[in-house]
Order: sequence, then C-alpha cells, then structure tokens
Amino acid sequence: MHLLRLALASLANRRFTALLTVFAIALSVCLLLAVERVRTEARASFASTLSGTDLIVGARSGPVNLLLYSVFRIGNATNNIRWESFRHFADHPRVKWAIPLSLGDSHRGYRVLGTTPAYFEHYRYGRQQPLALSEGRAFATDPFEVVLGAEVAEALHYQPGDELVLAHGVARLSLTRHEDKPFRVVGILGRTGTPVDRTLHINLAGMEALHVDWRGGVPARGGARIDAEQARRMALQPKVITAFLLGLDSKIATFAVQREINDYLGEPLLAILPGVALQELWSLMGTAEQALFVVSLCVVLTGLIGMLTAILASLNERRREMAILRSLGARPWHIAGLLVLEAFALTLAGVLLGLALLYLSILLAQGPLQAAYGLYLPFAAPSAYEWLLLGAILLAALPLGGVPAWRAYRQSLADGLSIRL
Amino acid sequence: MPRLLLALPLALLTTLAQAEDAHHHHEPRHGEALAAHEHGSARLNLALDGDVLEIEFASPAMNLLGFEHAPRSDADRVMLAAARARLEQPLGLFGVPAAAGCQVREHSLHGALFEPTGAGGQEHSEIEARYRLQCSAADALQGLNLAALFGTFPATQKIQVQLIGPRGQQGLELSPERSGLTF
Repeated sequence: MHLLRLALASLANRRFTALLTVFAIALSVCLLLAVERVRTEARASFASTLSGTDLIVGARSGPVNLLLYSVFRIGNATNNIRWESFRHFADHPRVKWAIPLSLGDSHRGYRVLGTTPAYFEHYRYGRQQPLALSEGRAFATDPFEVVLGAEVAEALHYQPGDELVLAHGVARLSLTRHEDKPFRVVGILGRTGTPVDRTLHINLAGMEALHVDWRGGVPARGGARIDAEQARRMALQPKVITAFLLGLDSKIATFAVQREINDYLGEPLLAILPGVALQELWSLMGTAEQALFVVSLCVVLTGLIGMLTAILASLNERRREMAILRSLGARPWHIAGLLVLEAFALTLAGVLLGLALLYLSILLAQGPLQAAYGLYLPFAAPSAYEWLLLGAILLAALPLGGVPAWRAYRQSLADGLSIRL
Repeated sequence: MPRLLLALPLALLTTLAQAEDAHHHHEPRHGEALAAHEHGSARLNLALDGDVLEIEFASPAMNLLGFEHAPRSDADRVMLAAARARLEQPLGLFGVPAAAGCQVREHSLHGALFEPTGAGGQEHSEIEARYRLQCSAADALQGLNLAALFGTFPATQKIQVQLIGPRGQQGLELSPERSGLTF
C-alpha cells in the first residue's frame, strides 16, 4: 500500500511527463478500440440490413456488386433488367413474393427507390422485422406519393403532406430536376438502422411518370411536355427496373430457382443468395481489416514504448530519490516494485482515458457517421473481446515496467550515493 | 526493329486465339449462360429445411476421373464406373452423420460422360450430382465433413459452398485442410 502511495506521489512530482505518457497511451487505446468497434458494427449492420429474402436478381455482373447496389445503395448497376423478366419470375410457381427495385433518381443526396406496395409488406430487416410506418400510410395508386425513410424526414424536416421535387441522377448537385412533377409525402417509416432510413420510396408508376416525356436523356420541351395531371391518366407501365428481391415458398427450392434465373435465355440475369454474397464481401474486406488491426496494434505498442522511454529517462534524475528510499530501509525489490507499479498505473490511466476518449468520440461522431455512411455505432459497454484487448495491454505493461525495475534494482544504492562527475 | 518486336507477341496472341477457337466444337446457344469451369475446384449447394437435406454437387470431370474425354480404354471405363459408384453413396461421401438417420430419397447424376454416346467433341465436361435426403433425426444433423470426398477425389482442391440452414444463408470455401461445415 505504501508502495502504491509512493509510486503515485513520485508520479505526481513528474506530472507533466506522466500526463503526456498517459495521453499517448490513451490515444492509441482509443484508436485500437475504435477500429475494432467500426469493424464489428459494420459487419452487424450489413448483416441486419436484409433478412428473409431468398434471392436477389439483377443484371449479370458480380455477386458483391449486385448486393451492394441493390440493398446497400452503394455503387451503381451495370445494366438494367426488363420488366418482362421480372414478371416472368414473379409469376414463377415457387415464388411467394417479389419486390421490384428501381434506382437512379435522388433528392438532396438521398437515393430514390421505385418499388411496389409489396416492399412494405415483405421487406424484412434485422431478425425478420417488418417495416413499420411511424406516420401516415404507404403509397397508394396515385403515382406522385412518396414514403420517406426516418432519417430523410428528420434531416430535411419533412412532414406528411409536404411536397418535394426529385432530381435526375444521384449527384448531390443535380442539374436536372423533375420540377414539373412534385411528390407529396404520405408516410414516414420508423427507424431501422439500415439504408432504408436514407431512402425515399415511390411507386414504380411514379418513377415511370417522371421520365415519361423524356427523349434522348433530356426532358421534352414545349408541346411535347406531359404534365403531372396528364401523366396520372396514362397507363404507366415500367419498361425496366434495376433489380428485384424474391421470397420463395421453400428454402429447398432456392438453388433450382437460382439456376433457372442464371440460365434464363431472355436476357443475362444473375441471382445471388444474399447471405453467401455477404460472406464473399467479408472475405474481400478481411485483409484490409487485418491490416487496420495490425496498424492500430503497432500504435498501441508505440505508446507503450514511449512510456518505457519516459520511465527509463526519469531513472537518471531520480537517482537521489531511489538512494534516499534505500537509505530509509527500502529493499531493492521495493524499488523494483515501485517502478513496475508506476508503469502499470500509467497504463491503467491510459486505458481508462482511452475508453473515455472512445465514448466521447462515439457520442460526437454517432450522428455524422450514420448520416454519411449508414453506420450506427451503439453507445454500448465494451464487448468481451474488447476487455480482452484492454487486459492484454495492461499485462504488456508489466514486463515493460520490468525493464527499468531491473536497472533500478541493480544500481539503486551505490549509484545514488556515489558522486558522478 | 522495335516495331517488329512489338508485333511479335501480338501475332502470337492471334495464333493462340485461333487455336483456342478451333478447340471449341460445342457451340453454345445464343444467350446461354456458360458456367465457370475450373479444374481443382467444385461447387456444392446444401439446403436443410426441416427433415429434408438437399445436396447438389457439381465438379469438372477432371477432378473426379482425371480425364474429360469420352472413355477410350477399359481403364477409363473402370474409372468412370468407380466414380459413379462413389457418387451413388452420398451418405459416406459427404460425411452425413449416421446419428441423423438420413436416407436417400432421390438422386440423379448428370454429365456428358455418363451418356451412352460419350462426351462427343466437347473439350470440357462437368459432372453434376443431386440428392434429396430425408432424415429421421434431423436435430443430430449439426454439420457435414467432406474429408471423405477430398480423400476419394484427391484432385479436388477446393469446394465453393452455398449453404442454407436454420441459421440462414452462408457461403464458405472448403479445402482438404478445412473440410467441415456447420448448418
């Protein structure tokens, strides 16, 4: 106990160096934990975005690519697929439900998704949770109705009844806006923690109506224009969509339907199992994750070596301190224990401060991270693995503290009392 | 001279491409998807729903037989018959635990080499096997171990697995060193 008090008092005497050391360790600990947390949360949030869907179908490209653009709204489709292909497989005897997805327009940086009411009925996320409306209703037959994701409504302050204008393309600053056909907000979805929160949902007919008078990639001018009222009276049958989700009547049928879609002669299609594609994505990311982890481990090591340097350097100026302790009756192992305790105390303080820094940064970055990357970092207690990492860092402090302890043990008395020139 | 040097690999490439073309007697129908064919690698689809386990195994014939042409000699025919016999015993081949009490309800083997006319002029040949098992104690069916398959067909170096089980979909790659999977 006296030893601990002595160690702390000695540290207090050198508080500036000690504080810097603690801060270096804290920063490295915070970095290590942040990397670990972002990694696990990214995996969890990706895994919980889609559940209950047996197959995702899109134009033939790569499974990871299709998964990213259809579900996570990352990247773009290489090709669209024909409406007839969708109808062909939606009417397949083994298919229980089918959700068409049409992407390509945006509203102030948020993606617009054209779909059908089946989306609200059959889309599942997390543990088979259905989408719930927090306000209003799903879109109905009128093509110009929009249902907002929770975050879109919150960030842009929309209420049911508000009108908004969609933009063509997905650039944040779009040159072409669909000014002539405003949409009315009819519903707002509850928060899901998935990309659904950042999406505006409209009817496929609405998507078609937006572009019905477009010729050659630009809106028609003058007499060729079709206004919202005229569009409402037209039969708005979509010709192309981006992808579709399928639910089957039995899991056993999955592979047969997958093969049938991949061999479809109408056009080149690709059907993927979302769970399998996700695993492929992880194996791609695994190397990068490991590299990040190794880098942050090295930073922790640097912090600890910095501490070792600071203690070793201090030994010289503490020759008197050690000698006085020895002459007052402290045994050599007391001196050694003192230094090990000091290293441990510095690391413990560093770890605690690092945890505090981590939670402070989660608190500050939670909002922006979710808005920009859809990554939700929960304010949760450290996981078992994180405790393990912290414990390992504390343990590593002991042998590191042993180095100066050994030197002091060897030379504390003679060195401190003899006069060095 | 430098220009000539540049032209050399180009000329070589075109010759190679033509040679490659000449190899393909089998012309796929327009729009038909061509499955990947990689020697040493096989594909396995597994779906477990209730007490039914469905297994689909597709592999280049090279992995199973050591050749992909129509059987020419008696040795070839013996190899073919042996491979066929092994593929007709899925319980052992795929390491289905005996405790699960599984029985083969349906099975089928496909592949040009099994046709009476042989593989024709086709350069590459796939063998595909499908099974439907019914298990009386499906709870005991926690996973499979494909060590026997890797042992029987040592030319198989990896198996791409698509798996649907009670915990949802999984994708994994098995190898002789890592031959176990859990549903």
